[in-house]
Amino acid sequence: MGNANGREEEVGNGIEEDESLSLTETGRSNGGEMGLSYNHAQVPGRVASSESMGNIIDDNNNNNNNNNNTPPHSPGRSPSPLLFAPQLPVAPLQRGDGLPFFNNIWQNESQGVVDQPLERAIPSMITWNYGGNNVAVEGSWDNWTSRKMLQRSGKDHSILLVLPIGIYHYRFIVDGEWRYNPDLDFAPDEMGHVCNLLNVNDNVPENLESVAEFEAPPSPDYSYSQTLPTEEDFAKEPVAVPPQLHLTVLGMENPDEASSSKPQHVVLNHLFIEKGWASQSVVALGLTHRYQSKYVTVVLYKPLIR
Amino acid sequence: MMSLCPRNYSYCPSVIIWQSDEAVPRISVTDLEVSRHRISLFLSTHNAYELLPESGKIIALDVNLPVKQAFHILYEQGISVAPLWDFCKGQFVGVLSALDFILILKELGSHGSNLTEEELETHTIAAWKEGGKLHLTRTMDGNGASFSRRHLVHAGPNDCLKDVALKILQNKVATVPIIHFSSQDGSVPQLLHLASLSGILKCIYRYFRHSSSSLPILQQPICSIPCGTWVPKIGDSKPFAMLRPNASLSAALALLVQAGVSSIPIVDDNGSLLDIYSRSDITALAKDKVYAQIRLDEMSILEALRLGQDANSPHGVFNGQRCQMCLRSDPLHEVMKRLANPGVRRLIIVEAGSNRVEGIISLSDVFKFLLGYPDFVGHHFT
Repeated sequence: MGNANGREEEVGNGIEEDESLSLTETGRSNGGEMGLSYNHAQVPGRVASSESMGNIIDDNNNNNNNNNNTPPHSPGRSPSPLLFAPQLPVAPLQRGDGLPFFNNIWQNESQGVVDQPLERAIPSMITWNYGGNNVAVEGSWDNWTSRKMLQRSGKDHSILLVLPIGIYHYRFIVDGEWRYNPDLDFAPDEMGHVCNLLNVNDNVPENLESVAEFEAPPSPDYSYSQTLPTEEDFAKEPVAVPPQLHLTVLGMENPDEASSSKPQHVVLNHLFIEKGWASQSVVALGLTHRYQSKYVTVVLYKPLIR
Repeated sequence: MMSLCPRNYSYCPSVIIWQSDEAVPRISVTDLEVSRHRISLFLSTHNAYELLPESGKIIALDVNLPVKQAFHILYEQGISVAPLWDFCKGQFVGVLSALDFILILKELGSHGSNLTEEELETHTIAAWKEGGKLHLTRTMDGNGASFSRRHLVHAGPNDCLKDVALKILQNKVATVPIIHFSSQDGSVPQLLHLASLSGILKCIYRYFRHSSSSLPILQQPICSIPCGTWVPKIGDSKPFAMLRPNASLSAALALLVQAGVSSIPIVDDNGSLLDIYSRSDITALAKDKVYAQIRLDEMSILEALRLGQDANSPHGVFNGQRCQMCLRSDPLHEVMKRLANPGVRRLIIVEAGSNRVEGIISLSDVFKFLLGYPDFVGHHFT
C-alpha cells in the first residue's frame, strides 16, 4: 500500500539521521501501529537501535501481513493477501501541512469545509490542466464564500478537498478569470453561470471494464470417470471451505457494516446454506451476485420438506 | 388560504388547505411550481439503480413457508417486509408485511381461533394470501384495493425514480421490489433491492442539499404548507387518531387497519406524546411466541411495546429514537433530512416544551406534496 511505503521510507530516514525515531517527528497519528508504544520503549534503549529498527520493520511487515517471522494466523481469520482497501487518487504525502493519512482513508479529518463535523467526509481531487499561474477554486460547499488555491506542479494544478457526500457546483478562477473545465461534468447553476459538478460519493463504483469476464475452464476429461460417492465417502469429513469464502456479507450481523463493505469477487455466485433452525424444517439459502457495479446478497428462507 | 377541511382519520392524508389563524409565511405559487418542476426533473432523469447500495442484503421468503415461521424470521432479522418467492412459478409473487400479521391476529382473535394449534403451525403464506383475506376485503374502505391485487407491484432498475415513487404512492405500499429480468424472455428474475420513499428522498436530499436556493419551497416552515396530517384546532367530531397507553392491543390494531395509517401516537391525558405504535411493532409479538399466549384485548399497547425493547434500552417507555419529533416551525428541508434517514418513516409534530401532539408528517405526505400528487400525475399504474 502506498501508505506503507511512505512509512518505510521514513523509517529509513530515521536510521540515517540517527535521531530518536523519526516516526515521532512526523507528528502523524499513524501512531496506531507505528507505536507510541514502542517509541516509549526505545527511548531508554538507544543502544539497541539497529535491533529495534529491525523490530520496527518486522512490526511494519506484520501489519502488512504474511511475514514469515510471525506465527501464522488461523485460516479462518487471516485476511486474504490480495485484499486492499479501495484506492483513491490522493495528493502526494506532504509533511507538516499535509493531511494526516491513515490506513483507513475514511477517517473524519477535514479542512474546515464540513458543516456538520459528525458526517463522513470523503476526499476528492479537483484538477486543472490548462495552465495558468494562479488557479483557485470556489464552490457551493461553503456557498461560494471562500477561494482555495490549487497546488501547482508544472502545468497541472490540483487540490484535495474533504467534503460530505453530495453534489456540488464549483468554478475555477484562473489568473483572475472564471473558467470551467469542459472535460468534466458541467452544468449551469442557479444564476446561469456554467460550473463544473462534483459528485462526492462514499463508494467508488467498480470500473467494469477492468473486470475481465471469466470463462470457467471445462472439467478435465479424466474427472468424468469418477464414481458416485459411497457411504464411506459420506462418512468422511467434508472438504474444508476455502478461507476466502468465510468473508461473506451473510456472516455480518450488523446491517450497517454489511452495506459499507464491498464483497470480494471470490464469494460471488456461491450458494450458501444455513441449517439448524429450531424446528429443522427451514433452511436459509444465501447468494451474493453482482449487478453492474453493485452487489446484492439475497437470502431466501425455504421450507425443508421431509 | 381557503376554508377549513375537517380531517377524518379514516381517509389517507391528502392535500389539505386550512385557514391560517396565526402569522405564518404564505408560500408563493411560483416558488412551489419551480420547486416541484425541479424535483420532478431530477426524479425523471435518475433511475432506480441509484437506490441500490453498493452492497445490499435482502431477505426473501418462500411462499410455502408456514406463516408462523415467516413472522419469526421477520422478527429475528429485524425487517418488516419480505418479498415472497414461488418456486413452482419461478417468480416473486407478493410481499409479506406487518399488515399481514396484524390481519391474521385480528382474524384469529375475532373467530376465537378456528384453526387448531397444528393447523396454525402449518398454515402457509400461500394459503393465507389466497383465502384468508377475502372476507376482509369487503370491510376495507379504500384500502381493499391493496389486497385484491393478484400480482406483485415491482419496478425495474432502469425505471426512473419518479415512476417508482408514483407506484409506491398509487398502490399505497411501503416498498416496491426492484427486480431485473436477466434472460431474454424475462423469465429469470433477479431481486436487487426493496425501494422505498425513504431511499428516494435520500437521493433528492443528497442532490439538492448544497444548492438550496434552487428549491425555495424547502425553506418554508411546515405549518405553512399543505403537507401532513394535523390535529384540527377547531372542535371536530372526528378526532385525530391517538391512543392512551392503557389502550388494548386489539383496539390499536383495529385503529391501524381501519384508519389506514401506519402508526398511531400514544399520548397521556394532556395530549403529550409518550410513544408511538406502528404497524411494524407487531412483529415484536413473535418474541417468545407471545402472540400464541395472549388475548389481544387483554394486553395493553404499553406492554406490547415493552416486548419489543431490549433490556439494554436506556429510555424505558419513552424512547426518543423511536419517536422522531419536530416543530411546526421547522423548515421543510429539515423535515426531509430527518425523513431521509433509513427507518424513519414519519415525524410527529409537537408543541415545543409540552410535547403536545399537533400532527404527523410522513414520507408519503412529503412526496405527495413535492410531486403534486394526485392532481398532477402523468400516468396511472395498476
